[in-house]
Amino acid sequence: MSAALFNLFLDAIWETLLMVGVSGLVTLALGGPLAVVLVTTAPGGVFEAKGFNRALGAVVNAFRSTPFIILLVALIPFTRLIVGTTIGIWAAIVPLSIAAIPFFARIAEVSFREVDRGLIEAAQAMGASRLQIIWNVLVPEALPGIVAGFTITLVSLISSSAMAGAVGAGGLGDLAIRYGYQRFETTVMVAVIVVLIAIVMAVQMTGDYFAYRLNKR
Amino acid sequence: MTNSAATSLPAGDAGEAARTAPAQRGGRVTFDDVGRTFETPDGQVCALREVGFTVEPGEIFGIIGRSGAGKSTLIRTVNGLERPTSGKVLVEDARGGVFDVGSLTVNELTLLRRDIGMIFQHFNLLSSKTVERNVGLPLRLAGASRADEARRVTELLALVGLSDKRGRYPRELSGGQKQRVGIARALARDPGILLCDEATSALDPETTLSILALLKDINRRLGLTIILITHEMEAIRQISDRVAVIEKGRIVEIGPVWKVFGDPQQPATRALLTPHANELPDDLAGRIAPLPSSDSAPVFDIIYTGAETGEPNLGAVFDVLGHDARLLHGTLDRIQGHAQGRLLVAAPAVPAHEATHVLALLKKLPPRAEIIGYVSGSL
Ligand SMILES: Nc1ncnc2c1ncn2[C@@H]1O[C@H](COP(=O)(O)OP(=O)(O)OP(=O)(O)O)[C@@H](O)[C@H]1O
Ligand SMILES: [Mg+2]
Repeated sequence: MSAALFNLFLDAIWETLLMVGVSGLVTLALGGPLAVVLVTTAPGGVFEAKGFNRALGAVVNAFRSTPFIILLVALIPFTRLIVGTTIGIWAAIVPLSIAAIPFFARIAEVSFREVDRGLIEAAQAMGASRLQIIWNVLVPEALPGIVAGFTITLVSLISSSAMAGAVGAGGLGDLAIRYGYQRFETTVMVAVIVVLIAIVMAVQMTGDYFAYRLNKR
Repeated sequence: MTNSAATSLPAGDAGEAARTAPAQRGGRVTFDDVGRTFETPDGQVCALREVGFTVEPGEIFGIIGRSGAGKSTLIRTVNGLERPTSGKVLVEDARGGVFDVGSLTVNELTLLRRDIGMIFQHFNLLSSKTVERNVGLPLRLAGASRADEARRVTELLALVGLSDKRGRYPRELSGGQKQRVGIARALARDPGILLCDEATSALDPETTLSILALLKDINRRLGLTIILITHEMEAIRQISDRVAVIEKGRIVEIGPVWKVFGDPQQPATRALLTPHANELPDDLAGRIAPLPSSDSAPVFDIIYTGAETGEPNLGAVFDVLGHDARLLHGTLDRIQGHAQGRLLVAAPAVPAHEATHVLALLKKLPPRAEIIGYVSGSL
């Protein structure tokens, strides 16, 4: 691998980390609250609103069932509206986040739903307001599961980011396609795969560690 | 405080609840013709009907009934976890404020709930928080400062005997310790009323005793009102002042524990108290015949309900039955200072034809008595 190629490679790693990191944060910031809304408006939830919950669930499912590659293309006008361009890593972050938010929200929703109803009742009996119940009971009790779910989300973001690379977003996927596939640079292809494996493993192990440490059950 | 017009509370039937403990801060709960129906896919389920009674300040009030009788539904109307579909539940705090639970706004209900602690069968502790944080949660919810919270938690943990578990997580505690944490948490804001829904049902008998002793102690020391639901008669017998029996959503019997337990009036109560009340030990049952024979002696079943004045007078019994009377079987218990139980006595000195006459004499004593048959063979 030439020095120039090696620099490209380092850039690609950085771009991938940036894409995944930023879309991960956006996903956490929007998907987490979305999960709270999904679970608290569900039948029996503290903010029960059946119709709203069903409509929101349908929207989430619609995004969940659209293949990422199609979402990538379909969201082009929206991406341009938000970041002003449709190429580069910042443009990729938009479809990446929009695909990951409902994915993460559904996973987090399961963790929230597994919180024992008795705990919510105990909090109600203590005179907790509904927001206090969310913040003092639902979130801390569901946290280990949410951390594990967020780890899964990050890993799936890494693989989606490689796909986004294919449409000109930069990052490791882009590099692999341009050099590894189109110019038959097998070393680049192999290096990309090795680095991706390393990143995924690092993310997974960190996530597992925190999920384990947080779990007091 | 909502000082609603309902200050004239129904007097209820609490007259006999002899209380010695000072009721500085106990709340009063009045159920006024409370009904609760659930709409289910298979039609209406009537969980409570026409429930009306009053729990007095400082009292330990037991509610018993078989599974599905409506106990949980009833206790949950007190802190508004369940809303009655008819009638109302009035909670009066020690300062004389009266809340009509069903008509409170969300904010008023929150205030009321801060004056009512609740403990649960499955403890319902937050697994993600330490003992300290669990106990302090009600304080934090009410906006107490960290320092106040820490101070109060120290007191509470000392009260329930868990000072050394402060930094532990619930999973590191035994069932009894978890329930102590639950009790400490329920007491955090000095409630006037403590609701216990099957608080000891998940515990072994020994731990149950220690938890009951703790509840009694708290009741004595702090004077707070305790409403206790259980299907364990022993728990009620141990610590309650009065008891209500609920059957299919209706209160079928209510009174001081010694009275209800010593002389149950309703079949439902009898079924709960002594599922085997009319069963004799097998060997004895086999020897007792319904009719007298040449060498048989009548068997008298003598019942002490606890209503008699003084202790059971055995001398008087033997004066009537003759001094070679034999005790076949017997139980005697003291509840709230009343001796109650049942003696099975065979009286060879009483000839069969005089048995009814002797029975009449016996009944003047005043044990309640009957002849349950005749035992033959050597005594
Ligand atoms: N949310 C509900 N929806 C429908 N029916 C209910 C509901 N809650 C209680 N019930 C019904 O009301 C009746 C009384 O229930 P409740 O839980 O008060 O009984 P319980 O006396 O506490 O029984 P257990 O000793 O088993 O706890 C039961 O028939 C139950 O099926
Ligand atoms: Mg129950």
